[in-house]
Amino acid sequence: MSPTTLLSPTGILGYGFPERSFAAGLAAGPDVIGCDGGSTDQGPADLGRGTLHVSADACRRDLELMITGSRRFDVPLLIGTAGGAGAEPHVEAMREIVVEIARQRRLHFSLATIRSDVPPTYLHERVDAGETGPLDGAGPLDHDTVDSCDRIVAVMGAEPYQECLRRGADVVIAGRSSDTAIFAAVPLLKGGAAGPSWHAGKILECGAAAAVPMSATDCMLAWVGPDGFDVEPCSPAQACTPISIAAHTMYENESPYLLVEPSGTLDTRNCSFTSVNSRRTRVTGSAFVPAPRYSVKLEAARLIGYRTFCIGVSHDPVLIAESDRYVDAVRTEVAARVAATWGEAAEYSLNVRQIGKNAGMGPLEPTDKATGHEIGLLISVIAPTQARADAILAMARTQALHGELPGREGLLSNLAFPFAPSDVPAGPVHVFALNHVVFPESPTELFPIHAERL
Amino acid sequence: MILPLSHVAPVIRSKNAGPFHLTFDILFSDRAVFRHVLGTGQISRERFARTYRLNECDVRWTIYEPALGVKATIRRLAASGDPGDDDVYGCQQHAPLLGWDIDVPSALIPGR
Repeated sequence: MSPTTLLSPTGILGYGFPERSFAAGLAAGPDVIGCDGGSTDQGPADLGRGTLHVSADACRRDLELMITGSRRFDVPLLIGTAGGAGAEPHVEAMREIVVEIARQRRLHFSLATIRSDVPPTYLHERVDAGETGPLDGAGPLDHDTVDSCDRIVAVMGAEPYQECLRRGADVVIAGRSSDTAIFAAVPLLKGGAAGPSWHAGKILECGAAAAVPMSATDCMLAWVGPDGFDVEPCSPAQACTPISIAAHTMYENESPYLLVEPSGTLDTRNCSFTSVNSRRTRVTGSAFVPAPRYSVKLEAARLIGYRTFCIGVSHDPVLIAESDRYVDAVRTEVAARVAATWGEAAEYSLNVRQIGKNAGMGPLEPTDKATGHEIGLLISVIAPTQARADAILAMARTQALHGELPGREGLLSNLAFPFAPSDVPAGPVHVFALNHVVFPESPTELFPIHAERL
Repeated sequence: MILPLSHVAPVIRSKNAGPFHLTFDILFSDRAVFRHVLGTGQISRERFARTYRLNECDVRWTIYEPALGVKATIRRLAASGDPGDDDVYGCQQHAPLLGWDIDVPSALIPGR
């Protein structure tokens, strides 16, 4: 059986990649072109708001190259977690770009879209049937929690992609997906060994990030065989070394060697990473342990309010030395003014981060001392409406600007604001609302496919 | 000789492992250095827990020799993007590891 050749043009759709590298990748005769469109990495905002993680223009540039390459060489193109979060608005936005490209370039092909939105009714039924489960640290899933979610997606495995390909799809735009499944789908469909198929996917889903020098915005090839896989970057300026590939196996995962997928776990504990040549690495020993039950991870966003923030810089050594007390005074004054204006029950949260002290690490910060000549106060209010958040932040900004300082007299203005207006309405704030899995009746029932001929 | 970990291990990083966990990687480029540092217990779950003021049982600690690497994973205090979160990508939490003092025989460090 000849190996299955996989091509990954870039780490995230829309991040870009060199045309020359992509051409080299196509020349290798791939059996599939795959690309990861997104992640939960950037937080819950895109899922909650329905906004794209990368601009439509940047996605269009990448998609146009991928689609024309895919059609010229008749290689299927699979895009997962389309639009960054993979919910209905994201998939629809990417689908529209694909349709537009097909029209402009006069290309005719079969397009399949896979949705991953979870109807609350489905989840309520699964809760009643006892077919959900918590992930690490979460409590059991209950009906109230399901109802509290504003948007829910399920993370698909390889099967929905495989079903699209069986139905003759040339281009697949999929919703929320295991990054690895985008690439494992085709080698598995061709009867390839599971361990190498999934492991190759893990390496390729970040583009050429696993090569040295690192670049997530360049192209990577893999050849998946019965006993292992080879991996090599398309750019001659990069190389895959045994260490770089082993290191990337660890990336962004709770365990360095156990990677959980819907259908089982990739176990890389007994892998050998060896050089084939100066730029290509061979990986053997990847194992895939099928799960007793097919389990699908759920992701959800819940709206908790609206944020307004401002940022100001102080050069005053007294403020810097007394910053905690200064911030406490802001907090106290805002509480009093909010109560006086809207009553004691008015809901809001006020967060003042001190840049130069502990803004990046918060409670994990071991140093917790501002030793520089300036400090930044990043003041953020979350309230039930944007207008309320604006109003409360204005109170906080006033107090932070004119607060008293020991040993200083007169009307002080203590913060340098970099721009006007100083106050920035930042829109709706979401949180991740679920940390659970669901056990569906089949690997595809949560992922409806829509096929169209362009 | 005593060196900061950042002079001994070329990759020290933190990142989200999903929205609810932080994962830290320490990767070496030299097998002898890796074995010495681990063998002498200078990199350990206990030291990590102490540095971040956590209980050891809250730190998932694994060694992955093929990558000459060590991984520590903890639950995030706030989920990514929560109002109390300071680092949406979880990527700037590794700084305390950079300055870990590591005792390495000079013979193992090229150019010293």
